[in-house]
Amino acid sequence: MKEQEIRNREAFVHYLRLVREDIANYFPDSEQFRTAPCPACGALEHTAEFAKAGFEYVACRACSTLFVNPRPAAAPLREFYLRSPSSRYWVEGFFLPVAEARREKIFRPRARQIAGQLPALARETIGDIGAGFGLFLEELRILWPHARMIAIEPSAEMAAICRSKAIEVLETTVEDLEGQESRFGLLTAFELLEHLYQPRALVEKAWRLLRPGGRLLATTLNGQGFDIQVLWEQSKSVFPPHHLNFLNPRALAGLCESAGFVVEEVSTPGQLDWDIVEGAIANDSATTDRIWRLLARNGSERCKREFQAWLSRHGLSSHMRILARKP
Amino acid sequence: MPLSRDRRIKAGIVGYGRMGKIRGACLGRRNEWELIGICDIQNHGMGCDVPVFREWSGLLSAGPDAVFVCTPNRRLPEVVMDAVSRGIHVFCEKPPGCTLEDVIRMREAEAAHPGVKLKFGFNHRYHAAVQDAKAIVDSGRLGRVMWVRGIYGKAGGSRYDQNWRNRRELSGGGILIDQGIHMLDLFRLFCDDFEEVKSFLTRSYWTVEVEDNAFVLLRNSRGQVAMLHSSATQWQHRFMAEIYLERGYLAITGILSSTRTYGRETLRVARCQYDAEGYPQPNPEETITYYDEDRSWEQEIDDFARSILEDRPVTVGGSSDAYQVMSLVQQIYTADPLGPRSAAGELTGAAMP
Amino acid sequence: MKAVVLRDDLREADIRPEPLYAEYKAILENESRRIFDGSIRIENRELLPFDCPNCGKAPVAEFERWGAQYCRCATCASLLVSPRPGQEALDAFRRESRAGRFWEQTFAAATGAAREHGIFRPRLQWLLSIKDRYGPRASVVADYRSKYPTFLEALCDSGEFPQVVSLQPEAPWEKLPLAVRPERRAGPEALLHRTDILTLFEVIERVSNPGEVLHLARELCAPGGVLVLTTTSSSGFEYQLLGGSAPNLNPLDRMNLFSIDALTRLIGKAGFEILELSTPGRLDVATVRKTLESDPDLPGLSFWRYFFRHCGEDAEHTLQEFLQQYRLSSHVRVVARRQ
Ligand SMILES: [Zn+2]
Ligand SMILES: [Zn+2]
Repeated sequence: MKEQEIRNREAFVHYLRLVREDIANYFPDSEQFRTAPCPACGALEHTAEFAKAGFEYVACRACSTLFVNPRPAAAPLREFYLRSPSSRYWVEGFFLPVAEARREKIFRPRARQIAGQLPALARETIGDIGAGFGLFLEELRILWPHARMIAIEPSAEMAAICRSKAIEVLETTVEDLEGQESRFGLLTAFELLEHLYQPRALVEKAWRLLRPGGRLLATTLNGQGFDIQVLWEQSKSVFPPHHLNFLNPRALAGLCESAGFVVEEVSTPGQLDWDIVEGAIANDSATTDRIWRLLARNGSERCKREFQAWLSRHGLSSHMRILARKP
Repeated sequence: MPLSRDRRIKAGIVGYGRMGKIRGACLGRRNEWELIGICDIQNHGMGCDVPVFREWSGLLSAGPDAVFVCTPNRRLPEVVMDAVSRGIHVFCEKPPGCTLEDVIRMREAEAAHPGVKLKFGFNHRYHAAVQDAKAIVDSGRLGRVMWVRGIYGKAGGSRYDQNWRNRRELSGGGILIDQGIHMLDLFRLFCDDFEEVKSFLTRSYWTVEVEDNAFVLLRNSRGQVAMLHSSATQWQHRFMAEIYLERGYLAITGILSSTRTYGRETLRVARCQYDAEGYPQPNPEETITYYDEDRSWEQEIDDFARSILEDRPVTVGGSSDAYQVMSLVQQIYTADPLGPRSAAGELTGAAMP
Repeated sequence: MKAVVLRDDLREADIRPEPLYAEYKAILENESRRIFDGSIRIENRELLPFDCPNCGKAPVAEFERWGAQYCRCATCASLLVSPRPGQEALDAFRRESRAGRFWEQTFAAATGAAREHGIFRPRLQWLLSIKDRYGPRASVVADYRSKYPTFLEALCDSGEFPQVVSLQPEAPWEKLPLAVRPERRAGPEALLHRTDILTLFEVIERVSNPGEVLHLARELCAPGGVLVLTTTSSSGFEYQLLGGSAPNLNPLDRMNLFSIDALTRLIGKAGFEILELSTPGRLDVATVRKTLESDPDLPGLSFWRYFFRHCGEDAEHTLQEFLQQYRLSSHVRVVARRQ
């Protein structure tokens, strides 16, 4: 997989510009921001790292989670996600053109992997938190025709798209979902935790929604992952106000365990780290350690492929995945 | 007949399919050679800037010093014998014909024309990993070769069941004579000839009239044993040759083929390490060599050019090598008459899209 | 061309044991500073600017180390000390050097067994395999600017090479702090076009004019003769990451750190065909780890700090092997044939 296949560079740059404008409109006054403890471990001690677009990023001294602090409150964040021009462009200008590519490159393999890994859940109730266009549930439905698929999606537009695909929808955020305790066999949350005001609230709610033995499967950004570490504040993944939390394998596992889960797997199956760094060196003249410039210039395709595989294998990719069981 | 050294060797290619084109491209990169014509019945040569003949006799009459015979196996012997009888040097693709009789006939023609060079395309001997391995074995530092073990397999390929290589009358056999023969040739490189032959041949998957898997055990009078698995159902392409000696081992994995699907060409070498009482310890330290480029085609053709220009005997891939390896192939085929396709194969074969 | 990877158990602590190594480094640093600031009095000690022998251009200042200015060639990324003393001054200095004596008398003695096991034994095996592969009839082996007389003896004891000599351009021998037996001594003129295997172990990084040495190498080799060379490269992991903070960067011993590109072209230009170019170093990852642990203030490198804290031995091991495979270790070895 190549970065360009799932992320059109020009559309992405345009989107980033809209976000900058929205920040001025939706978060005009950082005085309103609230100071928060570490979103992963709750510790209060942290170190200032850098500021980007008016948002301060700090690193938790206990678990190394990188997070925005102080941060916008939950309500304006929700408003921003539901109504801002950049959020609209994300759907129409950015996501839709690559939706089919993403279906093929991301959602189908993801559904296949989950179906292969958790066959016992094939006839259960499956909830996708932040289901968006419903691509994942569509793909999983093909593999698990007897499961009940439920999209948990607060955006009215997206909810409508899911319904048009005959997917059952709970049109709310998972945090506000009431009365569904112990109902789900599997809850998935793809690329969601990094956006939330309080990731812990989602994890704790998921625990209550799952039946005993049920699984939470989440993917998110790993702040200790290669491209984020190498590019740091130059990284496009470090992207306020969207990406507020960058946990890491240990912090994420700790968060789930403290909510009562048994962690079955934390891995970093990302494939794009090297591509992102090489792209940043080539297109954005990012400054990096000398060795990455050498590798970008002289490394063979095979060398780069093997390096990426090495990163993934050792928990060093910035795309992270956790599978946790409610005992 | 020796050529004067300042003249380029005029060459023709009979059979301009995949192998013919590889040989042609390679000739184009070497100074000693000049391509003067090709022959191909299916007009593969369209667009070439040299004359294209429909009949090989036309090409042979056009005055080449040497021809590269790259036709399907069944055609090879008659073209080779015709060329040799006209005093033209011949480079013949492997396998050398369909049967041992084919090789014998070609050798008779060669014997009748002593000045003519006849070389067969056992290209794997020219791979850098194989040459490095051979130098190490020959140095004797690791002692005597005890046994060798080879795996050579591919996934068949597109329309494998319809390929002429799987029609016995055109090819002489299946995956063994097509691909496994290279490994048999390498076994001979490291152990010389074998006297005892055991084999199992199967049709495990493909609906073809020849074997799609060959399991072979060989032993020679010095007690060296070689074990080959040649497969057309090796879904992950694989080349592996292990040579175990008294004081160490060598393993070649991957081979830089034109398709590059067998993995990076790699030679691992280890020398045994011994405990205080002199017993070998497991998993000794290895030296691993990775090879970046495949110069086997050039080296093979350069060798052939030297034989012609300097009137030297063909040392690698000569007709006696061809005879010995085909004799092994024949014995392997005789040792296990191919049975019916296996039941499992019947099922998966039917399920094939 | 091919690349070789070595899997063995070489440990830095064995060949550079502390506190002895720190003591050796302190003497070295002191001497280095004094030679570059001019307080050591030797003849012709004038420092001259040095252009990249590969590109012909003046390199750009990058960092200072022990009084020496390291510069980087903007074209080929080699690291070169400039200005630098000439060869005569270096040779004169080495004869007097306290660090050299400490090395010979104290350090080499203390690490002899480890070096024998970890460096000389594999090196001998390597030379034998070169002989088997590229020069089965090789009779004359010459070691240029020998550093380790014991290795020469091991080479002789192997019984594989009828004539083993140490080539020392800076005679007279009596003045050298080097215990080479008289029958093994030679000057370059004695072996012109006669050498079957010429070895330059850790030479081109420590001579004042490496281009000249490679040119001489060609003159020494018989037609088809083989050049065997080891050196340290600026393309390697250790120097890529640590630059002037690399713990083993001694300006007098590592005056020229060529990039792999530059080395390939220099050897080609001198009239050799490269048969093997590998970086079979085994210590880069361990060296970087140690440096990061001992110097928490080193800027950047946060990815690597995290890596060393959390990823474990297997990840470090596979990283070192990856570096070897793709010519990214700092220790380089080359086999080339005179054309
Ligand atoms: Zn924390
Ligand atoms: Zn340069």
